[in-house]
Amino acid sequence: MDFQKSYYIIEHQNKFEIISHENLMALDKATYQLIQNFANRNEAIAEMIRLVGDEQEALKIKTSKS
Amino acid sequence: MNNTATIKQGFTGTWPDILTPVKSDLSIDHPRLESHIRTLFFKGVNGVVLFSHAGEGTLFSFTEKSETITGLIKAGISPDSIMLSITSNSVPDSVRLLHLAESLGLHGVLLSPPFYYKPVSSDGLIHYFDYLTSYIKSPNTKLYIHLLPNSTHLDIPQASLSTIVDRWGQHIYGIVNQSEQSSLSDDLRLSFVDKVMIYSCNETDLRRLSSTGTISLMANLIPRVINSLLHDQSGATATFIPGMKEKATVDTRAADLQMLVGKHPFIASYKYLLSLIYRDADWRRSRPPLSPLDRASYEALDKNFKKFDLQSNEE
Repeated sequence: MDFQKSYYIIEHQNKFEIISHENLMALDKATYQLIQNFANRNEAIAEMIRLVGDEQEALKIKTSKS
Repeated sequence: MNNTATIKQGFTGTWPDILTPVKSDLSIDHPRLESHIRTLFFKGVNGVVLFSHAGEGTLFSFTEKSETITGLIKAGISPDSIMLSITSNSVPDSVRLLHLAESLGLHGVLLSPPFYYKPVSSDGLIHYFDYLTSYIKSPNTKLYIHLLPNSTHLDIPQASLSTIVDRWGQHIYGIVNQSEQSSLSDDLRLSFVDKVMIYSCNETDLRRLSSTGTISLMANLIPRVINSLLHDQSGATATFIPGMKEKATVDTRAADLQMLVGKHPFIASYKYLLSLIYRDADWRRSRPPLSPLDRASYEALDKNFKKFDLQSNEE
């Protein structure tokens, strides 16, 4: 399977990031957690929007309880 | 161990029994499925099995399966790294699925007996396989016979299996034991030595059996651990888990995950655990009659999965 043009969402330094295959290969494996691979950047962005939205919702619920 | 020098080589390596994500209208969620499969290939799996036991195969129509597989191939997944499970009750649908696999150039098909009303005779079962295999069009078609006695109360007696393997041996590349009985894999290896490869889906048996390949549910979550179980016969591969005095071996990790899911319904449980890894609650849906877990089960799984402490080099 060809990953050269694909993008990834990773958790890196306590935040989500979208990263190209080339840049991921240059990153130290111990420093990030891979979430998912996507065929292109648009799909990765759509998932990133969902992830960040969910995080915001969770934070709203947490702050409303405290 | 099979005498691999004299029998046909079937698939090798880790082939996850792919979980099928569904949308709120219960149709197949194609983008989520594609991303899941791409991610697993990146993590080193060798192929994927679609619409099998964990993939809720009996709950999806021919058209849904056909559209899904065609879409995945169009998206760049190589056909020869896809195996299609045939679990249909309808013989014409099973034939259509067989022809779909052949026409798309898939690696092969994982063939279960139909989910029949009891009682069915051995002759009836053999007749089903005879009927289906008579429709094979390509001399290169690879069939794997799927045994699932625990989950479905379906059983193919060994005498019937023998007849099927003798009659259709040129197409039969393996027998896949999905049951939790380790002894069944041992018995099958004794009975079919020099005839056909025996595969176990029970991850905790893989090293003991010196397996060269597996169809694995756990590989949806921990593909790298399953790869190690297949490739590291010494069992030396181990992971450092924070807070533990000694590193945990891959055997221990597979056994711990099996214990963690325990008696909870397995498809809903694995979907829930995958939803935690992907941070995506939509992965928790299943098509009825399967249903999501109750709150108490979620809480128990959540607590035990935190304790399991999945490491990034295991995913």
